[in-house]
Amino acid sequence: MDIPDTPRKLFEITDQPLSLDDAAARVARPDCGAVVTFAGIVRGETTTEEGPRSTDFLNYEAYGEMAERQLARIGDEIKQQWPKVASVCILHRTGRLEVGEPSVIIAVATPHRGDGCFEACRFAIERLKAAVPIWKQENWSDGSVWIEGPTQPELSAGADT
Amino acid sequence: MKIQVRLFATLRQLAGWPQQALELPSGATVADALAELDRRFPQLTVSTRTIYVAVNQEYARGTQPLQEGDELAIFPPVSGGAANDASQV
Repeated sequence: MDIPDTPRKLFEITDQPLSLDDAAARVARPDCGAVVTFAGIVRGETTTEEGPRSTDFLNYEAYGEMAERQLARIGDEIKQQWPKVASVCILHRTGRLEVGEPSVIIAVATPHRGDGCFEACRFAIERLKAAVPIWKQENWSDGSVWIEGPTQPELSAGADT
Repeated sequence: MKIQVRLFATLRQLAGWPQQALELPSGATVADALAELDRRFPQLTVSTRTIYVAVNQEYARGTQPLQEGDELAIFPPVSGGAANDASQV
């Protein structure tokens, strides 16, 4: 395996292809016997209210600097909630992604499998989808649309204006 | 005072620009900035749309006062990850 020149980031927005092995390597530690990984993959078919719909490709846009700060905050929240979690890595890709490619990858390392790695990994993807400034544009043969996630009232600017 | 406005996704496309300086009276709040943007770019409708705002990369409310040099980001509810929950039955 190549030894990178600089320490690998644990929370990263990148336009480069993602790999589960890479994320697992970033959290690997000699005192950790358990690593849980999650990959979110671009789906070729989505069930909608109008029936099944085929996606040609997705385009992801991120507010990169803020998104990386928010990812690191998710890491902090995980360590508060599951203190035995030793390392968390969350990577999200931007730009054009084809069906079958991973758009997000998460890895969580703990000393033992009962130390919260499964729960923390689930928590990370749910928090990412709610609060990290990344947007998905669905593209079909006949057009494209930006997808808006469910509104989180506590984040909405107009809530008290 | 002058702030930097950044737009993302739908809002960036509606406005046709990703980043622009905006001149505001001192003491202006986030809500004042949104109203000024709607006045100058009526197609944005940021005052009435469901949007999130961030000041210097932290989520903010409409009542938050702005300072010279602040970065005000305005964007739709986020949709990162892979599965498309918004359109799922």
